[in-house]
Amino acid sequence: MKADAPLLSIRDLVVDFAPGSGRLPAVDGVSFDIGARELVCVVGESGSGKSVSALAVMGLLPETAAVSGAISFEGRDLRALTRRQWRSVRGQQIGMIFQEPMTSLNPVFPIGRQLVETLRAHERMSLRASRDRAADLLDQVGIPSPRQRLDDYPHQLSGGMRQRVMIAIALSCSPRLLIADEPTTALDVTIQGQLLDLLNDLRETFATAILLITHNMGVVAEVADRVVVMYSGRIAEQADVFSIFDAPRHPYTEGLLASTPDLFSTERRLTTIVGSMPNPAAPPPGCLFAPRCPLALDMCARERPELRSVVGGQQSACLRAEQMAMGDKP
Amino acid sequence: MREPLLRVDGLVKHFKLASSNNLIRQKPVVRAVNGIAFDIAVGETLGLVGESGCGKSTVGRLILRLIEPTAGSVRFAGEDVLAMKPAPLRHMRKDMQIIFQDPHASLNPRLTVEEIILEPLLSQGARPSPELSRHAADTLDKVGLPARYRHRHPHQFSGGQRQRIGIARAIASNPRFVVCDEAVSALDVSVQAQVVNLLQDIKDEMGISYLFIGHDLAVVRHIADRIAVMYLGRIVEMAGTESLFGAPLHPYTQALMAAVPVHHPRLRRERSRVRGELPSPLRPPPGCHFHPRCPFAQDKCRSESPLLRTLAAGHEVACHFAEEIAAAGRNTEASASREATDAHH
Amino acid sequence: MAAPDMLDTVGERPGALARVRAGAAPFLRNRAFVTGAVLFGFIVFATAATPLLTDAAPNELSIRDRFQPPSLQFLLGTDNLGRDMLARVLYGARLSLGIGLSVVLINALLGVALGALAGYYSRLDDILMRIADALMAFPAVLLAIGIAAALGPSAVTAVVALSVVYVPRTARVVRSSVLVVRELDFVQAARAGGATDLRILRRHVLPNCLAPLIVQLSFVFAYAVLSEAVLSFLGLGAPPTVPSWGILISEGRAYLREAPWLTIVPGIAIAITALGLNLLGDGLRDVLDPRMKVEQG
Repeated sequence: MKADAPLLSIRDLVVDFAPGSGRLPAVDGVSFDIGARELVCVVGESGSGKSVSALAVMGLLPETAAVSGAISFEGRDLRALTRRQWRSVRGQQIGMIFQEPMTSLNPVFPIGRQLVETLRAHERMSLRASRDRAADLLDQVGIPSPRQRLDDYPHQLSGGMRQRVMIAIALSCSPRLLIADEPTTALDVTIQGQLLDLLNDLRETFATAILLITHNMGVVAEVADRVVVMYSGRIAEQADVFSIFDAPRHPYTEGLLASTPDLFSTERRLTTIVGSMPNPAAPPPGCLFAPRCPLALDMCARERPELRSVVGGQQSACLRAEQMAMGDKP
Repeated sequence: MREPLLRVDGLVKHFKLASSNNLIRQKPVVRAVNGIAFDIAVGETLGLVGESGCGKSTVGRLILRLIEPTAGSVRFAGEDVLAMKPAPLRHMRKDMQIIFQDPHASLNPRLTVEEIILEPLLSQGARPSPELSRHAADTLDKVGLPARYRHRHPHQFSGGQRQRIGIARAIASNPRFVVCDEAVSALDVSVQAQVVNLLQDIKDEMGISYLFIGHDLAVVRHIADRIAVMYLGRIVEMAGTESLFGAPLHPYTQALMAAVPVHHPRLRRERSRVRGELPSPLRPPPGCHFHPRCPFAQDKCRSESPLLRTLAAGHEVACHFAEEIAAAGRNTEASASREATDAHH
Repeated sequence: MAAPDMLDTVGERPGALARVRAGAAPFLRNRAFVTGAVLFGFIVFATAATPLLTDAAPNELSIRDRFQPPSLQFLLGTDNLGRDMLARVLYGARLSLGIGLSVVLINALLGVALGALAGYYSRLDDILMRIADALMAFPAVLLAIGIAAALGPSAVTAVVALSVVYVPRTARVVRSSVLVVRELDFVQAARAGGATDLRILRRHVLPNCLAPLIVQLSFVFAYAVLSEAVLSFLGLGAPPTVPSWGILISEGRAYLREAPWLTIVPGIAIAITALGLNLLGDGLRDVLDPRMKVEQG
């Protein structure tokens, strides 16, 4: 699938909101790629740095943040772009959708007008043609009777419908990459299912790659090709989705999988990860996960392990990754 | 038969909306809760699930009389809660508590943790004393927080810790019944699992009954003894947890279960997603409220509203064609479930 | 991901001094607040320390020293009866600020009580707020003049008139924050815990409405001082023997050409007070704004 260079490549990304404070950076040395048409899930809990990484890719970090590392998109260095150049990349080549579509849609304009404006901002076309195209897009994202809906205001739509509109706007310029930050978190499970199906379908029709930020391992299981697991600003593990679920090579991934409630389990008690995220102001000296890790050894408290290849394409930042196989779980 | 701890019958809540059009005299009415009935036994956990807007949170607040019901009855430990005068009602509140979803909005930012935890007791007339302080420390200990945190303010805690404080407040007065209103929905996965287990431990230790309101079937399954599924203000199915998950009878329950994300990529399949979205409770569809989204809907469903009826022991369902659907669905569901268990091991 | 959800290892309780310093920092960083505090602090200090600043009595006549321009002997000059303007302005401050403070206190009591009732009990809301609307429909100064004229000139009259004008406005502010706070889960939790309405209001609702109230009261103070000057200027405030700032301006008006300092000096005093209080209010609003607070939490 990835014959040539990846569509998006992130290398050693560091984002520090309080440089010099000794606090752990929000994102600390993150590297991963996304190939054309690939769906990569970045998964982690709050404070893991997953959303900050996405904002960095979109060039939407506040100017006070200290950023280093390289982000290249189709061979182009995104970090060197001027504001002007960014505008042609965002929306046209990289589309975005967020968790709460209400705040991303302008409440005082009908959705049709917002779609039309996006279309015409990037492409010369007549008003009539752009309205036709807008209706087509709404139809493609599964909004019933799209023509009539064009004149609806955002507040007249349900959360799921608004998210569909956001997807339509994001896809309006056929971007090569769609970044979706927790797009289904605020929605009911039935609507979440519909939207995940939709994203999967659209990946085919629009030939777009998707970077999906989520905290939900179920969402990952449903749609991901590849998975990047983040913990406290660093990548704990990354691999194809089957390796992640079949043979996690990081105890955090394993804990995350085990603590996700399972609809088909008759167990009363849930497996948990003890403790909680480290305080970024006073991080543990060694591996950031060591204080919560059931496999931790003395050396884990001393050394902070780097991400390295374990088997095949699977990378893990655990000193004991090799020992972690399905067989010798406790 | 012994009377259950809580008995809810014919509970109705209609909210009148302020009309945007003054020419129309009749204000639009939202039928948020429309005739709900269930029992909860001592030490039992009833899960109440449904999509947002189905009225499940309103049910919890009606039972506690945080909102006044339009009609119906709520009996708690043999007493008619809805007929109670303000003073006895206040007194009874120490037996019925609530845990909220949002750990940020549910704690008064101006109070310390100890003040928050003791507030229900102080409200009942207790005076601050060293014993009471010790009780606060013990309660904190019960929810897994160090007692030395008790003079801090809520903003110094993480979401998971705040939720523990909220639980401590709910159990400080030794209640017999607690409404958990989406109590773990806002938490991160690893914290959520911790809190679910904590709630179970507390229940086992204190013999509390829960009404566990949630939208995540997988979470509810782990904690509930029985589950009631709500759709647009009505219960459409109610059964013991194993019975419900083993053989869901209502098409809506089946749809909810099908919508839960798989827990392994190998289980991905083309699934029949439930169509459409929850209709507005302002204009519920006639007949069975679920018929516009139901794959099995027939003419009868469009005109006649199905009543909740008992199909098997302790398994109630409100669907005209539950028997037929159950027979047809048995094969596919069973295979899916077997497949799931296989992949798990 | 700005969620502060990761601070699970909470440090030990900081010392009292450190906490005060941490609490004061956002105020000291706010330029409007600091400027306002300095200006208003200057006025308050001068008012409180009047006997230390001047030996002269405000009503001591000295025909020989009529219309003295500011000089070393009379720092702010003298008026048409040879009275020392410095003393008159400083003693006048007592009355002006006293009336302002009284109006603020009445606002704090009545405005909060009425606002809380209206916000908490929707049954009372309609009645109370329609009355407030009716009172607020009149231009503030016009209403104050009307009431003062009906009651006859005195300091008490000024306080009553200004309270009638500003209490509805304060009640409005309190009501709107009560409406927001009463819907929060912790208020529901308090009710579920068996708290009485009074306790819920006192312990849970009102303390969380404090920020907008404080801001509002600082503005009320400023407006009250200004409006009192207007009333006195029109002869509807304190009787002329007591020199409030408005009376000083009113008296000086006749000699605007010959002795402009008679009007300029009390005018500047009023301006400094009003400006100081307004800046203070603006600064407080910025610092206490609950939206900013949530992000810090």
